[in-house]
Amino acid sequence: MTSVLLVEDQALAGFSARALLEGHGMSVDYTEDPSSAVDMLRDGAYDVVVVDIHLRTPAQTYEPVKPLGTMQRIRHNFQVSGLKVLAESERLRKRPGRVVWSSGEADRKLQLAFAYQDLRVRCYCDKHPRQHHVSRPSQWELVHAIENAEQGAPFQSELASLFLPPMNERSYFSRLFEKPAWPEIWEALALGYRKKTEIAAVLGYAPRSIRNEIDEMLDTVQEINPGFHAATSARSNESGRRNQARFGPVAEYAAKNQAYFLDETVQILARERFNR
Amino acid sequence: MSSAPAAVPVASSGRAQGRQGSLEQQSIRWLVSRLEGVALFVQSAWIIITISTDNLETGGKVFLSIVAASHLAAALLAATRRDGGPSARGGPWLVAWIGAALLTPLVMATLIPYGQYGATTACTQLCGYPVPVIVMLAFYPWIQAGSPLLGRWVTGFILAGIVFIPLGVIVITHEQMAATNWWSWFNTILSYAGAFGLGIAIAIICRRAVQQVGASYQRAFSNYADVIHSDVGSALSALYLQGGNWSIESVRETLHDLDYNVRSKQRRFERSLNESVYLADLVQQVYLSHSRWIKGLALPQVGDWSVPGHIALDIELTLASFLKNVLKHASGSKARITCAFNEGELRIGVEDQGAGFDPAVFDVPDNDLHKRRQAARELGGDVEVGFTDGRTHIELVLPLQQDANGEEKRS
Repeated sequence: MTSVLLVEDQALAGFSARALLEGHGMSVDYTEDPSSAVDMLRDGAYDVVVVDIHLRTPAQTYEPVKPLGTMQRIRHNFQVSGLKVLAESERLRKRPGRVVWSSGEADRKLQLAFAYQDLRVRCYCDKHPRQHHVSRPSQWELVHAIENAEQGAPFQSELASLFLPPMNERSYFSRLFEKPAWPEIWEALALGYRKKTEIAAVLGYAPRSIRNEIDEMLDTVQEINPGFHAATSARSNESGRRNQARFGPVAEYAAKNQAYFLDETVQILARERFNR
Repeated sequence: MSSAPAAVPVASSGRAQGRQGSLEQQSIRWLVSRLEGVALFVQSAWIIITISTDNLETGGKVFLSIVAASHLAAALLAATRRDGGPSARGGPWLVAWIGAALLTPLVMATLIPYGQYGATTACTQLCGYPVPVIVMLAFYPWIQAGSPLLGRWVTGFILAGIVFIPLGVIVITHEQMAATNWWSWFNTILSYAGAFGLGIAIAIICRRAVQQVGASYQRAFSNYADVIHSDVGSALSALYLQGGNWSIESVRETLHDLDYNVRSKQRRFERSLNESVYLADLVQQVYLSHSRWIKGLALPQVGDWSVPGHIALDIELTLASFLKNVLKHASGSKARITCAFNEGELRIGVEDQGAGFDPAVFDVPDNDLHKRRQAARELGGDVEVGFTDGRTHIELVLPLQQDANGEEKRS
């Protein structure tokens, strides 16, 4: 019997998925908390762990202070997401098969790319039931994703592949955190700091060095997402100030991917790259 | 993948997203701070003219230089603060500014003897100090911003006091009231009335502009709510049409349709506000619209890629047109959507193993593909067709940037 650990914050989705999987002869443990999930993975031998990326429960203390500009860098905690479970499960001696169960919402795409490129998760299942519109029911997808993950085979549901990064692309994570200062700068930008002088002051750098880093970060954004760069740099250029033209798109990219740049797992691994 | 140098006029209006409730208040604060900036700058210029033209002693020049510098600093503060100028929320600063500006003519008349005014006559020069304050005194209550201290009654009381300022200046500088002095006093009061009228006019124009912006957002949101409500109504009608023979399956299908419709409307609405749109969301919409008819359609991995909002609708319509073409000419064959960024261009298309089609359809004016190619060319792009190894590849090519005149870079 396949043993499955389901990490899901939406009670209804968790309940129905559990019922479905048990109906297919699997034993299912269910938790809403990623930290508990990590403990459960260490204690019990699971064949497969099914993880939702955005988990409301650990984000509850985070959401009310999330609006841009309302958080102070020294006082906030990073957001815990399903990436924590995926990253921790990779370190276990008996590594379970891993399935990402996500709806691919706008602010989760970099997190999905991180799971795919850096955590090497190969099974993805679209969470939204769209069986009316697609050729196979989503229940089929979840069951087969788990079966494939258990056997170490890849699986991508019809729509989930859309949300994954293009094949053979160099890891977004390694590019977005290419230099030692970048994790902190992305963090400050995602928290809503909008002036180079403020970022320099809060991080303890010289404003000129922040400007140079931002220039390089913009080049990275341009490589990773040329369409986003074209859209945002146009408005920044209208301001007529070179600094704003370089700074604006980077700040907006951080704001748009706030959940990624403030994700605990992403930030810890980014700092570990430089032993900070 | 290539770089995309910036340069384009892109339709953008997403800044007000999610803040409609306070939009009017924010706009008013923004206006107040800009107007205060101008008023303070005018006052500082007036003081600098006095310093440079009047016959002042060193102490007086130093004092007035400090006053001018403080006005300039306050003007800069007002012009650069996003949420309103120094007095946008009232407080002691506002009272101090108004009080100082109104008393300045009387103090100056006392300090500088008659005959030592350089630029203009004494009354014209000294009585000019309160003009920016009078404009603001008219502006604040009319636009309903600023301190409650500046209610209309209080403003009226201050204005009544202002009437006596030129009288005081004339009496101090001339030490008597001749007939010409009375005429000069009357002219000054007329100019004050003009300044007050100007303040009201500016306030009315600003308020109407702000209200129109707020109303346009309100209309857009109302329209969106209506559209969503209409989708909910359609879903209910679909269920009632079954005459009470509801099954779990039929309810589920109806709810799925509702979910899909609401999501697609929401995304179209967001696209009208956003500068950039995720390609994955866009392709998903087209895919879901066609997946009933085209089985086994393979999708590309596009992850985080976005496109500028102003070309999103064209991409969606063109991709839908390509899929209809696949349905028509390559029914039953395998197809896949392809996507790439190359040298500043987006290339998105459909590849199938069908029999192919006649490229002459592009020249038939009523043909959908002809229309889509025209639309692509208007955006500086094109539609390209290729046949290789029994596969047909039809592709939309769009440049990501245009030059400053809106001209396309692609020839």
